Amino acid sequence: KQESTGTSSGNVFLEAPQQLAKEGAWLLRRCTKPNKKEYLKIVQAVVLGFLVMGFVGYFTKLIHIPINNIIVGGA
Amino acid sequence: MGFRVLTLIRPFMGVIPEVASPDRKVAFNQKVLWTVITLLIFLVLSQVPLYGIMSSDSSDPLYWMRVILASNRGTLMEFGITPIITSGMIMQLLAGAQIISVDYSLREDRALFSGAQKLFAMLITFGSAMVAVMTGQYGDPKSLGAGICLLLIIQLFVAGVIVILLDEMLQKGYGLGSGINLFIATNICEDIVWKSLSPLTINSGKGPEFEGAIIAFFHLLFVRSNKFKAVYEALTRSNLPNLTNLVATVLVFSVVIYLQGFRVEIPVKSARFRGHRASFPIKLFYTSNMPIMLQSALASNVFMISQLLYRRFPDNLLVKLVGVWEPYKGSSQFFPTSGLAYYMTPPREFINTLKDPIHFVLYVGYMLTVCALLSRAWLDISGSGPREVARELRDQQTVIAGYRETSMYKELKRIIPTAATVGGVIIGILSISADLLGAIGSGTGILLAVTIIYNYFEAFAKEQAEMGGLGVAGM
Repeated sequence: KQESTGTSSGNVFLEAPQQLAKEGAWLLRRCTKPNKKEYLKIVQAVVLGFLVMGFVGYFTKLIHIPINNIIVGGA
Repeated sequence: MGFRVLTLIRPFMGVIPEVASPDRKVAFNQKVLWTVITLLIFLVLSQVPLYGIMSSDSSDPLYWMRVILASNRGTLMEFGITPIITSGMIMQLLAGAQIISVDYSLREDRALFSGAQKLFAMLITFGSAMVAVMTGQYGDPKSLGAGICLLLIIQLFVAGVIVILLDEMLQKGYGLGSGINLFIATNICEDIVWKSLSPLTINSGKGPEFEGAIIAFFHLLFVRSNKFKAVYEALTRSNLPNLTNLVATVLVFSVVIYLQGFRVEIPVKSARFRGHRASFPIKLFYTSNMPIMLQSALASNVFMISQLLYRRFPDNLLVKLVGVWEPYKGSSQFFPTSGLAYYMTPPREFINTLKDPIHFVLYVGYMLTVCALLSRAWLDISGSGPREVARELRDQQTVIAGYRETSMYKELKRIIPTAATVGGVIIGILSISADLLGAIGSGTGILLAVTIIYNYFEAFAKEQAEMGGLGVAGM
């Protein structure tokens, strides 16, 4: 595979992104993409984690609203 | 450096509070328990307001870092995990640049190094606390009085030390993963859930409105006589989170999860065990979310300095070139409206991309370039470049199927740096799109949350497999 060493068109700002785009396209084609089953499995895991973390934080915050009012109101 | 800096740390080692390593490998269930407890402690601390604050209405100089710092303004967790991260980053840099010489294979060196990191983190906590109080973050120090000032500093310091110890506890094996990731991800998820379901009401002239987008949807449907208008408002109101934001969030999540699964599978076989075939995956997001985190940290520092300068010297031309700051419509939070800082911030709403296309173009150019460069640089900093990976594989006597051992490096060299750069650019694109669509939690936040949860999931699965395997073998 030949690497382009010179900047034939003379503009580095245009050359680098072009090169990157070419390499990027090559890489993306070579990648294994998640198939439907894999994707759903990951989605399930992430959603689960999200719900757990989100709601634990949510309820903590919720409970603290009245508690904070008491603390700050009394101070 | 002629003598070793680390030897300076030794006398302090006895004074630094430390978590004892577990004497036995902790059971998986126990680990989950400890992790949950740690999380709860952190969350509760994030809600406890600092005693003695006079005002929290001033513009928050740390606004830009809140997402990656897992910190909550005005609470005990004001600095969140900042001290740990900052200390870690600086120490890594110093060690990498050989300013501090560390021999990772020596157990004592490792202990000294982590002790130094902890000490540094505590110093940063103390220093930040002092700066915050003295520069009037919680109100003018003169009106607060010396007693309250001292109390505030002590509160912040103790809270910071607790966080440091919690993180250490998780890392030493009592829990899953690292405290930092856990706290960041939880804060982001909580932010999203809160913006959907918050029961708080705000009155802005049209009567009380619910902050939570989903709750507001039902409320508006109920309260407004024109049902179509109600739905429209639920979808597009701009002063509080709306349903479109929620939909955008879900969309970004889905795309990120999909892209997370992209990997180049390299078939490998072991030279030791004949016929043992496996695959060595190289993820598209090879550097994970590091480019975004580094970019955030960099931008935040620039913003902090720019804001400070602008407040002091608002008429200086050079200062104005770096950034001009004004409060954003309605809130007291400052945003840059011109200067270097302006082009480093995302356009706030989609309309603004059309109103100021130069800003948009420059911003996109900046983000993508920085992400690509940082991603590439991270390979060297973190030691995960093709050379290191090739060496590890060789140590484990693993070779790529069909290749000779020597050309393994070349093949890796073709893939890994490209994955890092391309992955970095894609992450940048995702972040920008998420911000444009108005997704809750910002592009950075969602990316972080997904990658962290995904890593946890992988660690989970691995631990379970290990535990399961051990259990069977033990029988």
